[in-house]
Amino acid sequence: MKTRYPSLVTTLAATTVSLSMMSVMSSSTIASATPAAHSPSVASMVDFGTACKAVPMAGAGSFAGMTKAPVATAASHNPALSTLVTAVEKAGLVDTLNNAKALTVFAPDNAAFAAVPKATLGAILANKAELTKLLEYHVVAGRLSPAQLIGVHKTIEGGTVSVAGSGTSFNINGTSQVVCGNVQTANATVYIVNSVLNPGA
Amino acid sequence: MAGAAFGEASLAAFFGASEVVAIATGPTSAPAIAFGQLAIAHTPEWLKNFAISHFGEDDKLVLTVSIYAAFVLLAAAVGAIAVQLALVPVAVAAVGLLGAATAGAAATQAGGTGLQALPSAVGAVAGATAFAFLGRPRGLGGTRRPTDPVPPQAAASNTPQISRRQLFRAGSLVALGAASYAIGRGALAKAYNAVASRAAVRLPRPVSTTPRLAGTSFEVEGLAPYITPNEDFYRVDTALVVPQLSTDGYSLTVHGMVGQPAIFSFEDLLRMPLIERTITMVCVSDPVGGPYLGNASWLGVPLAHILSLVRPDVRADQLFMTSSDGMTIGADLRAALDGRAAMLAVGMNGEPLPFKHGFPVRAIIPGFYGYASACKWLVDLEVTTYAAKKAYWVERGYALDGRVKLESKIDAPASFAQLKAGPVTVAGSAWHPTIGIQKVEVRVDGGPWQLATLAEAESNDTWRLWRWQWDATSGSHTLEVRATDNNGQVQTSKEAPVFPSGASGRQSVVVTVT
Repeated sequence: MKTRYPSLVTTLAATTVSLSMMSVMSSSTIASATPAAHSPSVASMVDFGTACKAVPMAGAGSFAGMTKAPVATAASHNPALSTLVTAVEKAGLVDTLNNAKALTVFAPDNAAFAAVPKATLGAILANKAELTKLLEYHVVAGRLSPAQLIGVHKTIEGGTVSVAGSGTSFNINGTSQVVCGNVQTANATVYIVNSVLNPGA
Repeated sequence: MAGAAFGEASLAAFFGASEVVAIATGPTSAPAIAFGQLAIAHTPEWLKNFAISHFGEDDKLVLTVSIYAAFVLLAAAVGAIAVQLALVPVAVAAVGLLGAATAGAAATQAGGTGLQALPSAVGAVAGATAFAFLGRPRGLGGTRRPTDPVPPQAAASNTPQISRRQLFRAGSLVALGAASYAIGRGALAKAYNAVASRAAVRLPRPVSTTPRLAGTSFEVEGLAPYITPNEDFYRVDTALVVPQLSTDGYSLTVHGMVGQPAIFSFEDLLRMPLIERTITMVCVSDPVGGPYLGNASWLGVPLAHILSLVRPDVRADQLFMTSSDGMTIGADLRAALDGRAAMLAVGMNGEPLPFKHGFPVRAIIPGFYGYASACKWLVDLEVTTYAAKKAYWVERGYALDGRVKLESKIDAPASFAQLKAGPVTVAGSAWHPTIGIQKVEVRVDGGPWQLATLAEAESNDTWRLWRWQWDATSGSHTLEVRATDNNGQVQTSKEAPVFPSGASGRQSVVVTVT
């Protein structure tokens, strides 16, 4: 008898919780919440990775919270992605990225670009066609959740990226590590990576 | 553990009783809703940003679930402590505190009165009574009178025990609370949604309309239609629950620096001479090429007519509007009176305003971003000065002057489109409401600007759709657009972010042709 109390109490608590959920459901039915082009489940909305603290995508990007910023704008508010943002601007891809319907972006952080030899990086940044190809190799059409991430994906550039790993630990093409994943912007899911992906590899 | 069960039963009694009382006092007086609105109002900016960045559109849902979860955990903890200490008054006091908090939240919210506190008060009495009933001393092991027979289970332990009967009572109370909560919630949703009220509205014919024109659109895949259907029209607001105002009790108060304050019912407004105008609305948060704009036919009372009835003071320069949920929008009073089609709209694309778009009455002032003109669920109109009062988004740093910038966008082809070499139709829209568009040009890879073909526009208040035939050659290409308005102003290439006065710049789209 005594041992049955906890489970009975749990049942009571669960009833109360489901009661609460019921009220949330019905209030949101009345509310018919803001139409969202993309509304994944709450669980999948949470980002992961130790580097996330260092690379906030919110900040000024969601200033006063009127609407959520699209991917290139959100990235421009993130100091750890400033080299990538410069590259995107040089390639003239800001609007194209911001206005795409749904994307997955592998975003190399500043450390990733710093690891590229200076002369090589300079040459890439100076060649718009090559730069566009390189950046398009970091973009996949559609939003990939962490659960959908593992596998081979065709990039906008035309080549493929191969993602391996599990849980919250992923690598791209066997070399680049995801240091902060599943960051949600208005139109794209972002995985911040620690090395620049090479389309030729 | 026994105490936890009592705590949950008490919580269920609280919410069950209060929800039923709220049927009489209105949905926003229900403790959970009132508490949620209070929480949103007092959530610090950094936490809001965290929630938006982590939960996106679901941020409000996450907040609500967290609040309920906190209540459930607190009830279990307080109940357990109260029973452990054999101090029923601890739990009674806790329920009282909960009631006081939600009663305060309900009574002090926008439009709140003392009456709004009633559901919380009744809920608190029910919750406290439930706990006192379940936890009265003779039932608790710790305070058992020595003459009572000692159940064998309790003898083995010195923690308070509860009988099967008590547990059954607690379970019944949770079930009863849940049932009455569900009944209350259902009745509230039925009684306080204004669906019937909206369905009963018969919109009068306007005294004048924007002439309907043929040739306002092109058949191009991906290009927006000239008139945006109501269900596709963008929505940007801060409402946790979309207000459901019935036309029955609706009243619009017009006051402030006026010669003759006035209160208008919905019927009063419908009896006035109505105009119908096609007007493009733009949100200040629309980035270059973004989705937050739309074009609709609006039916409403000219603001000039309303204002002529109240006679504004010549020193006034701001029209300070308040919605039923407390949002404030400050509009340029002189612009509203300069002859543009500024109105208090009651109809959108031939039907009463949808709830999301402000039923029963909202403001529309062509040429201004929504945050500086387009108050939804409008209930109060104060004639004042910009010096005297600051509206919601202006308080948060957005510009006082919310004039829509001259802009254009490319709808087709889409970002990163993969196209076949040969003829490709490039198409989109351009707008500078109240001034109108005379020219749109497109260029490829920074080459010479090429003249696009314009569709008709019903007035200068609407966007103008355009298209341009491109002979696409293989490779990666950048398409770019710019518009020229009827004043000869060319859309700037200077890029500005959304904050604080709206985005500017020329949209480009990168595509691949093979």
